[in-house]
Amino acid sequence: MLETQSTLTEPKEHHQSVHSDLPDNSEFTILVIDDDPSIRGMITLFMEDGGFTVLEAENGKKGADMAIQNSPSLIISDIRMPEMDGIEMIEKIRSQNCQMPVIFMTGYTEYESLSDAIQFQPLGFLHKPFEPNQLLTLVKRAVDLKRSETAREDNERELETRIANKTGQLEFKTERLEAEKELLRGIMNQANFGLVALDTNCCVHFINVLAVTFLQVSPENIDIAIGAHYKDSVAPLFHRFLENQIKSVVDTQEIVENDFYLEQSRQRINVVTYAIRHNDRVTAFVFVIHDITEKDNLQRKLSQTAKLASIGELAAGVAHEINNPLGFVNSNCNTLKEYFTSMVEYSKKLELLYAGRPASGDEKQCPDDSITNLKAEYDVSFIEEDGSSLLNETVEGLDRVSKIVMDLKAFARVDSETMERADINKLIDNALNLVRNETKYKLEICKSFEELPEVLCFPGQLIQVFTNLFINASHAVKDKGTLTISSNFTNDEIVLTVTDTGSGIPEANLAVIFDPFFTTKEPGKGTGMGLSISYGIIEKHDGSISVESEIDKGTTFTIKLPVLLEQPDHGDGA
Amino acid sequence: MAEKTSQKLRLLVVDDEANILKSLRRLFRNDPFELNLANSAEEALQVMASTKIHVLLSDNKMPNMTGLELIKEVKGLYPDSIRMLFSGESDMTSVLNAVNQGEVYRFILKPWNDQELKVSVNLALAHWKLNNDLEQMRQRHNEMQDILRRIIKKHPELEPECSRNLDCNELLNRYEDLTIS
Repeated sequence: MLETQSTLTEPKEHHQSVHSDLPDNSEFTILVIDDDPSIRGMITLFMEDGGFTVLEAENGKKGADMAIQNSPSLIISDIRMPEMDGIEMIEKIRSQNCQMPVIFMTGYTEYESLSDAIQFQPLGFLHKPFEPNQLLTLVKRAVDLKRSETAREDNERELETRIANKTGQLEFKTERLEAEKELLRGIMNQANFGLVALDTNCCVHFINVLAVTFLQVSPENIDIAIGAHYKDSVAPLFHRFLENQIKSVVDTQEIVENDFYLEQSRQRINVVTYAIRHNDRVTAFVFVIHDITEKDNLQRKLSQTAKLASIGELAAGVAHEINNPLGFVNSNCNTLKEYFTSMVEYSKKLELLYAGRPASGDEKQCPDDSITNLKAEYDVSFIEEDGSSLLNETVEGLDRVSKIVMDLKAFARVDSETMERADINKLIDNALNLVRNETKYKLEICKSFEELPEVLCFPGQLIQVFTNLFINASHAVKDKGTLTISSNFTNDEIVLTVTDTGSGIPEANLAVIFDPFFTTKEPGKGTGMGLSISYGIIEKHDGSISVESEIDKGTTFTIKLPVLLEQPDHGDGA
Repeated sequence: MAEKTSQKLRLLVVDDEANILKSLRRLFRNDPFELNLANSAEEALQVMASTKIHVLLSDNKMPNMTGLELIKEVKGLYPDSIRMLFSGESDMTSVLNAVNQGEVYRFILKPWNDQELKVSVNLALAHWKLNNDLEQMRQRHNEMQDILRRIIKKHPELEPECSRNLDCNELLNRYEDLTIS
């Protein structure tokens, strides 16, 4: 013990170091517990010199009470003590959830109690007699520990504050985001179009109210629609259509637009499909759905109006084509009536002539003169000669009239909702007959028709397209020209070309000739709807129409029609 | 200028549709005038160059030269001819203009009514005849006036009686001639 005392007092420089390192250690309370008051006093003095606040206890029991009550920053305790030893004391303190560090002092080599002490993870052991340096090192470690703990606690507190702040901000942002999302949803739901967004797995990411209506999502499926595959919620009749849309978008990398006709409600919806890409990777598919029933009806009316307009344009010519044969047919019939009367009279006279003769008499007995006179009187020779050619001409005239009426009927009637099979070559002939009056003195018509398979189409509408092209060609030719019409069947596609040797179309106009209301004709002469409607009709047949032209050389229109075996999904009547 | 009316009147029908010409030949086969037919405006002009035609009935829509063009040309070449247009068109603006400008005597629509066409053709021929007679009368009147003037010059005392009597008698005779034909 004396040894300890002497060694403790000796080195003053260690004091200094404690001083300088810990300028204000008064907050650091050290509880010193030892039954030996001299050691207690020694340590106390030494620590107080270092600026620490020191508490003392002479046994484990008191030490435990003080520790629990004051929660010192460090406990320096003897192990072997009366009443309650150090181990027991620490056990008690720890049981009160006081986690301050402990330095054990021991004068004996008691391994048993040492191993007991270790379980409390003491900061260190001081083996009596110990050097003040040893004590200082340990205390310093405790101080550092405390400091770093405080720093950590401060850090933690600051971190917590920051997290709380961030959380607050985040909550605010989330709220705003939520509000914005709600607003967007509101906007989307109030929109006059349907909107569906699918992720790349074709699961519904978003669907607005109108889209639910359009795509006939049944009420029991609405809740599960989001996140589920679209086929689980969208009515089955749309599956193939939507699938094709997505496929086309992926294949063509373009915006795909198609119509879908709902037979039940007689509605036509237009679906625009596109992919949203991020860094060249598709992240979503979007469908924008519009109800175009009304627009479609209007278009249909417009098409009908244009058709009527072209009928009007045709009417004069067609009337001429009908009135000519009608004129001579009618006149021939009147003449025939006269012929007939004449022949009846002649036969009556002939009977009378023969009645005067004996019954057995043969023709030779009849005086030649009287018959000749009779024949001359009733124009018999002429009637006999002329009668059959009169009838032939008349029948031919009637054929012409009925043909033109049939052509007109094929053109003028409103097509049904479903397509029909027809031979395109025949439809071209139909149209040629209708415009014959317009073309016959102007255009030499060269046809090169290849045998074509019958295709599903709207015959009246195609005749409308052809009629239009032929009349345009006739208008483009000033005096005389040639109209060349060819039809080919290659690669499952019908290709038609209509070439005139007219004035050509200026390059600036080529881009707009299919636009509605574009016309170069004088006001009142053209509606400007002809080519626009032709374009629509060809498109409805899944085909294409294009134009090439050279000024003063002529113009070629090329129409390509796929050979449809069944009605396209989107197309039907119009 | 005026011709003697004893000669046969001639009608020329022009149409590019042969069947129409044939049907008209049938229609007019018993009529007292001479019927000429042409298949085009060019052919019609050829016919008219070699034969005096009194009435022309032409279709309008024909290749190369339309009926209206033909009629305008004929009017210049043969101003005394009576010209009629024969057409199945429904757009008649140009046709009506021609009628209003006095180039076309009558316009006949296709399909036509046989009786009406006959009446029109005969009316036209009669009209030509009337015109011609009127012209003849005017010529004779002028001749008479000349003679009268010469007589009066020689015998001034006869002036009041001569002028009245001769003029009236002559007019009366011609007038009767006119109404009978």
